[in-house]
Amino acid sequence: MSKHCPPGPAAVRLVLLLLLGQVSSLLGAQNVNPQKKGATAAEKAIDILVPSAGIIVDFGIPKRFGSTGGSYLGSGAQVQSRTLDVPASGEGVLLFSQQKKLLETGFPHSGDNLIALAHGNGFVSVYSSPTLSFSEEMKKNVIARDERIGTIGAANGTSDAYFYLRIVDTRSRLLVNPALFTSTMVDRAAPRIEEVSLIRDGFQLKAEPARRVLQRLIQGDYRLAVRLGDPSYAGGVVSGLFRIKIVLDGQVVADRKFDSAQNADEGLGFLSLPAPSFKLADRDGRFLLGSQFLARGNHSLELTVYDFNSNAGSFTWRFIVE
Amino acid sequence: MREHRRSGRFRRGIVYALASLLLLLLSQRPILPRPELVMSLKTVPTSQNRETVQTDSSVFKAAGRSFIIRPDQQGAQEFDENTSSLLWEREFGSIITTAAASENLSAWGLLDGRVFILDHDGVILRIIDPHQEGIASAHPCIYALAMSEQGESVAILYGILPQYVLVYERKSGFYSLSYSEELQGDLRSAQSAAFSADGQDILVKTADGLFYFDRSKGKGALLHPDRFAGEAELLIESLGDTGFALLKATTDERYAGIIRSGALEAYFPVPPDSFGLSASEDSFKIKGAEEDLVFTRRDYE
Repeated sequence: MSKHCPPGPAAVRLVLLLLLGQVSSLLGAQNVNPQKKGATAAEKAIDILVPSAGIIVDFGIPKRFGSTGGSYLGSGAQVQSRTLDVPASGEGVLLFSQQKKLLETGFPHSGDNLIALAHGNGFVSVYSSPTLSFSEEMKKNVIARDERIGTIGAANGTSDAYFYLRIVDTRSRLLVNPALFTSTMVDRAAPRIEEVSLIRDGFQLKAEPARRVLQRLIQGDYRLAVRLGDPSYAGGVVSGLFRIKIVLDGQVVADRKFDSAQNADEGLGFLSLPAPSFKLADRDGRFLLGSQFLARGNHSLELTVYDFNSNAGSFTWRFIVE
Repeated sequence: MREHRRSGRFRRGIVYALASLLLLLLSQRPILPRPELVMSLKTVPTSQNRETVQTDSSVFKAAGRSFIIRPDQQGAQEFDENTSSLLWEREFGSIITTAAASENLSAWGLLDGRVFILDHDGVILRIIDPHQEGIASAHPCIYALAMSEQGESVAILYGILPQYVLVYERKSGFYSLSYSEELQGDLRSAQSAAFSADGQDILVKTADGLFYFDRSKGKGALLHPDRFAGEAELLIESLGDTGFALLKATTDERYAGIIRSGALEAYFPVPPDSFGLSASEDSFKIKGAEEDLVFTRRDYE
């Protein structure tokens, strides 16, 4: 189930296209391993250094917040820094900073301190952490790549300190998966498909392929709800979900990637689906994918999910529609 | 003869130095209220300490409305404080940097340089994008935002390299740029801005000083750059119909002030633990760690 492909020429071409901002319309459905070999101008502008301590990419992962039970999709990566320093991902200028102030301002922030750096080619990198404190280098006009922009505090007195990183391509109005900019991310753990359900108007049929009798449901339009997980590899690397492929009765009905999210007026558009992204997740932490009409007869649904390093997990469900 | 000339030059030098020193001291002195202005002070036990404010930091309260800001700062929900029920939810494609709300409208400034104006139900009324209107900054971003009560006018601190104060007016349902001022310096964190209660005056904290704009005249000016330029933190609240109350903070000093019709009426030190400001018709409250100070302003009769 789990595999690790070496980068090939096709993958290098794909990364170049990604970084030139022409990705969304050109991405195909082929297996890719977008780890890079060459370096374009854009790659030089943004080059996230992933310390061996760890990275957890949560791009597209459902999350919950608040007492009202709101949900949304993650849009970046938690990066563990070995030295508690937060390095600049590329040469840039300070665009925005947010930290605890001397005065109580009207607009609150989420509790995280935040630094946004503007780089060349329209890229912006955003660093946030509740313990992020700004360094003196931030006062300079231009911050060099790898230069320390701040420090983070360790949680519970350990070295387990993370900052959250998001990458924005302002010219293409995209929030980009940070995994696309990492060069050293070894993840051999396959993603898990924890739940597959078909839902319609309050009705829900949860897949139980271990049952001897085929499950049955009535004809109609159904949405596919799936709960996915990507376990960490070697205790610290989660390359993150990157692709979802759905085959119904031998036909590919969806093959979508978590490469970027469109900055649309209605919010973030993940998986090339309409914004806002919170409509793609329910309160149980499941993805709610597109609607599909299921006609009477026997059906076979195959779901395959890939992480960024092309490790795959798959699930096959046979059922009867009456 | 030469010695006499030298001693004359020396005396003149001393006089100039003393005059410079006097000017410097005068420029730094607090501005006491004018003789015809009476300000009374009342000390009350603190109503809200700083820790409470920090714990509740993901809730944005304005104009009697409450909004939960999403942990990634890319979305907001309005909820009813009495019933805790969700009224509406909206996601933005970029990070929220600042916000303003009135009874019926809310405005959200984003890292991508756009401002979303939403109606009472969270539906988008207008999107203001200065970049699309030819405002040329190297990097767009919204740093300060103020909106008049009925949303007829919106003031924005926009972009870096250079930074601008922009004023938009709503005409026939559309917002059009009515005024822009390019600034010398720029600030790169969220700043305070406010409309006066009558909606005619605007005050925005900028790197160059306090920017005052008179909507009826369509004219703007920088007020007291000597006191308000730079990165010192500043809170601005409308006071009465036409005035503003101020609280300025540097690392170890706090100053309160009043601005009315573009003039600094009062400017004086307050305790260094002051951290908050609220204002009403004729008084404003400086929140402190130990006690709150309530200043009441009235014209001398």
